[in-house]
Amino acid sequence: MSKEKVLIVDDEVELAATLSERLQLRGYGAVAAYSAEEGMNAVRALSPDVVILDLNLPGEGGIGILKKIKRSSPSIQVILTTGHGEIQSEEEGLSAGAFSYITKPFDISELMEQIDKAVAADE
Amino acid sequence: MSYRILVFKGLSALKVRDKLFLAFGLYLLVVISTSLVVYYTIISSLADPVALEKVRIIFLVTIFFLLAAGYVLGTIISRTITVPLKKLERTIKNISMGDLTDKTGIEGHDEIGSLGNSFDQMLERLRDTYNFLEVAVQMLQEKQDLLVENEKLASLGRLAAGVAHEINNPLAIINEKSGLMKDFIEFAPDFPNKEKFLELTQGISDSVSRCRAITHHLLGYARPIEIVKEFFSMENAVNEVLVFLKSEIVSKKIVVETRFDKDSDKIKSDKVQIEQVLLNIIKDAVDAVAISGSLSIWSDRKNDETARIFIKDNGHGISRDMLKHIFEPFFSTKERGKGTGLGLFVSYGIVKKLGGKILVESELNKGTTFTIELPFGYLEGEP
Repeated sequence: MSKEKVLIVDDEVELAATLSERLQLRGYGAVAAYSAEEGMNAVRALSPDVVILDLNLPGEGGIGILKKIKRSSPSIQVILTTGHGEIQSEEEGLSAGAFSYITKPFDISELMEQIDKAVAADE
Repeated sequence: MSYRILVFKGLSALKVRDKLFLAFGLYLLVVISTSLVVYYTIISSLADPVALEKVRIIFLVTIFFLLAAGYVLGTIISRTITVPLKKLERTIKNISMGDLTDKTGIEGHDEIGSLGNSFDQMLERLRDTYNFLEVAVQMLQEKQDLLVENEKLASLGRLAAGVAHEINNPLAIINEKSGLMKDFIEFAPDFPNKEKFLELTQGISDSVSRCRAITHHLLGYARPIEIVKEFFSMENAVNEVLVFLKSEIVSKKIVVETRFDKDSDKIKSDKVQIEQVLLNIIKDAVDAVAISGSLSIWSDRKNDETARIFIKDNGHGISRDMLKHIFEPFFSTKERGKGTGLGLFVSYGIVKKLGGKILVESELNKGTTFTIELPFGYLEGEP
């Protein structure tokens, strides 16, 4: 099986960078992007299998990016990351086509499980 | 004309009683002087001593009767005017001092009596209004206290949730950094102190988990919970919670007594949320009692709209000072590390969202009783 391409979009540089490194260690082709714009560019350039997207992204917000991704490439699965307590956005995200959401701070094994499920759902 | 003005001015300065005295004095003066004039006129024209004696007696008797009539007249005027006026004055003075319990007590069917009656009626109305206002003010005070309490907890909740939200991001970073360190250590070949390093990073992860539990708890308070209202058996809900706490109850040999009325099944509420509240409160009760302590849980109806669930323990109780703060976040009477101080805070928020309230009574070394008030469901028109 080829390496799943995972794009992490989060304005918390430290979090996104560290997380991508941890996923790389676990065999994923992980890349981090630190803004909405960077994230969209990466989506177009890399066409990842799964995007891990921060719901509270400054600017357009996670939901805005999610909708864009789903419009341009519906096959990309998006997992939203939230700070908890944003049930409305969470539901909005799910109805906008997100695969699932996961609350911060998250457990790496839980995240991997979600990624694998998302990839499996796509195939 | 000026003398008339002067006389009226002088009269208006006098009290009623003085005016009556003055009038009576004038009356006496007129009676006596007229009598004397008539008397001497007659005497001077009479020569017969017998007739003279008769005239003298007639005059004395006449004067006596006139004086007596004056006295009776004075008494009648005093009785009908001065005395009632005095009563009225005394009552008004008492009212102005704040005593509304007095009344004039003026009786009779004349104008004065009618005045007194009307005054007493007015006073009674005033008293009723005053009593009504007193009750209303007290109710408002209680409502305001409750509002202040609610507002305080709500703003504390917002603050706590805001802090938790901000903390969550750095917490996620700490989590990933320590996770990455652990990854490197795990994937690296054996090196000195490898186990020790693994233990250390695990310690960081565990602490993050603890923080996460707190922030999620706090955020749960601010989070608009999805309320799923349904009819359920309160008895079953309590029993499920008791089963959950079974090991602690058994190991402390706590005697648990439960009694539910049939109305407790008519509560339409969110079972999952209520179980969370029951768990928080019953767990506190279990922690509060000594070995072989007792715990009673029962229900009743407060009125047609409200059901009550009581949770009573005979534990160490809570002092008055502490009781005031019991629903505040991070307030705990337990030893450091034994509780987060969020259980009752969260419970308060849940019950409020479900349209009820939590009350607490406690006495040191006697025990504590929590009362959860919840609305019955059938009144909402959707049985």
